[in-house]
Amino acid sequence: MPSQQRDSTSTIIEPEISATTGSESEANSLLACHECDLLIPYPNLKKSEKAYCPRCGYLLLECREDSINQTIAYALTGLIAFYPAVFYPMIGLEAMGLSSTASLFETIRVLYNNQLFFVALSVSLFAVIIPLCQLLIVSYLLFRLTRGHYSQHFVVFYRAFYHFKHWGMLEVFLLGIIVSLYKLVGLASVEYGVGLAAFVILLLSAIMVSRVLDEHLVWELIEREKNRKARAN
Amino acid sequence: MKKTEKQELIESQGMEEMTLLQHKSAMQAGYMVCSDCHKLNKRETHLQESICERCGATIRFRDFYALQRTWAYLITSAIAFIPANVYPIMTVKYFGAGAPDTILSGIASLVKLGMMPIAIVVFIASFLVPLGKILGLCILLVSVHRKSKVKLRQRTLLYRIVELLGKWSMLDVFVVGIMAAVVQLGFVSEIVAGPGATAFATMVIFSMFAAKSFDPRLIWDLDCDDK
Repeated sequence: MPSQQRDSTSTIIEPEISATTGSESEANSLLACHECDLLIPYPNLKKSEKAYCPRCGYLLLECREDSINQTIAYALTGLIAFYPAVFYPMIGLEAMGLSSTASLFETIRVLYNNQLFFVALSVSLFAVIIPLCQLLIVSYLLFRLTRGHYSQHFVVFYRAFYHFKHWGMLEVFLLGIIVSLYKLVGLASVEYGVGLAAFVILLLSAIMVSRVLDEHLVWELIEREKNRKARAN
Repeated sequence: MKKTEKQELIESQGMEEMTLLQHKSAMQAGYMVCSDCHKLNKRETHLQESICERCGATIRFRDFYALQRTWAYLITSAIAFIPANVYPIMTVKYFGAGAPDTILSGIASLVKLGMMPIAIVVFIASFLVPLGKILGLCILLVSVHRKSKVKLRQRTLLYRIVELLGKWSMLDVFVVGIMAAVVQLGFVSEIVAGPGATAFATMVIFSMFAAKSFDPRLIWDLDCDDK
């Protein structure tokens, strides 16, 4: 951008922003980029449009069609697949008349038995507990919110969901399975179990939840229900 | 200014005013941005920290200790990188005998067995990515300390890559777990996980904490200062 234009615009902004200090409506009409802190007017998006930060290119907002219902549907799919994905055998091995099978739960148990408590804990957190919590939180929250309920712990749950986002590692675990299979194929004959199919379904629905969920919309819903409840009291 | 596809998209939505506010950060306008729910909270500029109106998280204009914390996690992660590569990550036993494998010797044996594609995947995920993450974060931290004003966008991109790749290093830990669980054929063949896995998991987790505690807005603050 040419420098003269930048200078002229910056003088225009100053009075605008200082004139309306403290008003709640002004804060709602603005949006700050989460990665570079650039302040921009809140974009009014139509369905399936996206807004990127003009300075650093961060995806600011995404307006998704029918976000809430789809998210609930995918989250429930994931929850249904959850039990078989964790407890049913994923891979089986057969050599010299001996055979063994392993489920996700078995993986954690073996690590624990090998005295690797920390590794067992991190696998159970990243591959089981965090994805489970995410699916539970998101389906519970959206289900309650769409029915106009509000309770104080919603905020805590949704913040937990936000922080868990970076720690769910189902896709890494699937790559781990693929690598292990590749290594094992040369060793013995390998069989695939129900657990593997269930795990893939779980992974796909977890990915779809994060793709379909409109995070800003959920925060707005929480805020709206909160304000409505405050007014009612 | 060169228009990218993204910018055209933004402008096509009737957002001409966007350029009006360009190069003004939320901090300069007196807003604390919530790190959890991204809400703008108007606060007096002398305040150190406050509580977000919407979600109750602690908010600040900038986390004063962000750089220190990132350095601390990063150094911890770099230290853990050494035992992660020195100690055996697993032992493959055939008929009760077998030599322990470290990460690198495991990759070497994969190459020897002719499993090149999988060797490359494992090498990238469990050696290059952690090393690249540590280096990348060092570059970001040093450039912020030196108040560098060049390549702001590229550095943000570097940060995004570091953040995105972080969890893929856990691959080897998962592989060890799965292999140890599947290969339980008693005396014929057995895989035992080793102490290297603990060090490796520690390294990955701390490097993820390091990436999380770095604040990319620090890169851009200098861009706002002189406008």
